[in-house]
Amino acid sequence: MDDERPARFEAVYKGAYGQITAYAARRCDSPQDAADVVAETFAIAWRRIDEMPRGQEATLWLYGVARNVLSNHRRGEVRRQARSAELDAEMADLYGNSPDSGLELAAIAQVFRTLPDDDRELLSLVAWEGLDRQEIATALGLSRNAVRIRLHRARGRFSRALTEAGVCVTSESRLVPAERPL
Amino acid sequence: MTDIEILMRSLPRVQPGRPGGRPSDAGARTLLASIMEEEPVAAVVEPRRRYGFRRLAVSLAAAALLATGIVVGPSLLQDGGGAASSYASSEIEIQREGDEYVARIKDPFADHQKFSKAFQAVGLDVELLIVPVPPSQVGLVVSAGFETEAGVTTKTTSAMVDRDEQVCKAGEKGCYLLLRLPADLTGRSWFKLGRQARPGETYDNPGRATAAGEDLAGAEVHGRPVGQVMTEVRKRGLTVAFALVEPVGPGKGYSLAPLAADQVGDDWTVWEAESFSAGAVRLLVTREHLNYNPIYGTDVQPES
Repeated sequence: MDDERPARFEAVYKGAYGQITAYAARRCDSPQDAADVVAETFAIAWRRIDEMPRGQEATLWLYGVARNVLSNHRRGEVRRQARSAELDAEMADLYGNSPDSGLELAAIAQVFRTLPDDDRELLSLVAWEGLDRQEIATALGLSRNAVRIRLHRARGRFSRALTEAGVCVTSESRLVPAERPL
Repeated sequence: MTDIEILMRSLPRVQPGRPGGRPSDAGARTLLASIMEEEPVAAVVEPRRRYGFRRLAVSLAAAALLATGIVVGPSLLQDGGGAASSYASSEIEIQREGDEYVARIKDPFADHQKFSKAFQAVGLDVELLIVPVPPSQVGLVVSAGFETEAGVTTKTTSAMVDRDEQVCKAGEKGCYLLLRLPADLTGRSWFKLGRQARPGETYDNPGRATAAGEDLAGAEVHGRPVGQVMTEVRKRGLTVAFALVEPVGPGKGYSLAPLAADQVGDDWTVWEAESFSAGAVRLLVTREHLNYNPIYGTDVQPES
């Protein structure tokens, strides 16, 4: 075996663990599911380490793997790593603090859940993981232009769904300083 | 980031910019150790000759896919040069994505000639062929071919997939043909999609005769003596042919040589049974017993 691979994997694991666990916890309803997604994502990354890009792109690549694992997981088709009680407990800690849930946010969250899966993922990668278009393109194996178009459409659909649900996102209700450009 | 996305930042339980777990925690360390207990899968070795690992090709290509959505809109966008950079109709959509053209075809069985025209619009010579295949391959992409200069590797993807880019069969709900081709592809390329064979028709692509729905479904053949397998073949009333497997080496593929039935001993070893046409199988054999199955990659050996 190539001696360099374990060290490289360990470095990527340690560097990206916080981001991948956050990714899973933001999207999974239970800590057990999140633990499964994290474990399987890294297990696949190890099995496919020869395909894993170097440097910063490794994390983006892991997001892409995690995205596929999550899709499979939702259909109950995931190969599971052996469960670890410790990992479950650590993931459960992330679920202890419920996000601030004002009425408006609850309504937004509800509308968000009605969006197509691909829309939610794109919007989340921007808002939650803070990825830019190029990074999303790398993570999902798309062109930057495709990301731009899809993101534009996803924003449009979310906006329309909010309007239809009677959720008004106005400057008064925004949770950001008013001077922020629209 | 738009207003909506700024609002969205308050939604998740792990706030944007904050990490989830810590890699130094006990659970994280245990997970790392348990994952690394296994050896990573070696890179797939390209078969040097005609056959090696072809059955793995579709599943491996599909496993490597990243999830993408589908964008449909009737358009023909010019990229400034002569050819269009994308093409879309209700049946087919071709888009330039980086160095690739990505085609999504809803109903590849329907009037497939018109697909060549769609590819022509973006400057590619692509043919979609509908071929007779064994029952287990109906509705799947069974092979692909390219005309390229010698020594040039062409990296492509071709598979029937669903919305999440998981492999499915043509005709199933939401199942479409996905093709990814290098944008600088110059020669002709073709893809073969399997249809049900008519009675007596020879399969274009031989199948695994032990797969569900095939003539030797459920039979154990891999690594068995020819004598044992022939008992099963006769019991099921099948006609049989043989081919001699000449392995290149473990994980490196193999080639096949013709072999008459009377040259084969009962103590030879069967490594694969292929379905040829309905009621006819071909056994791939070696004289000596090997400690691995040469038809498969060393990391994916068949169970029986």
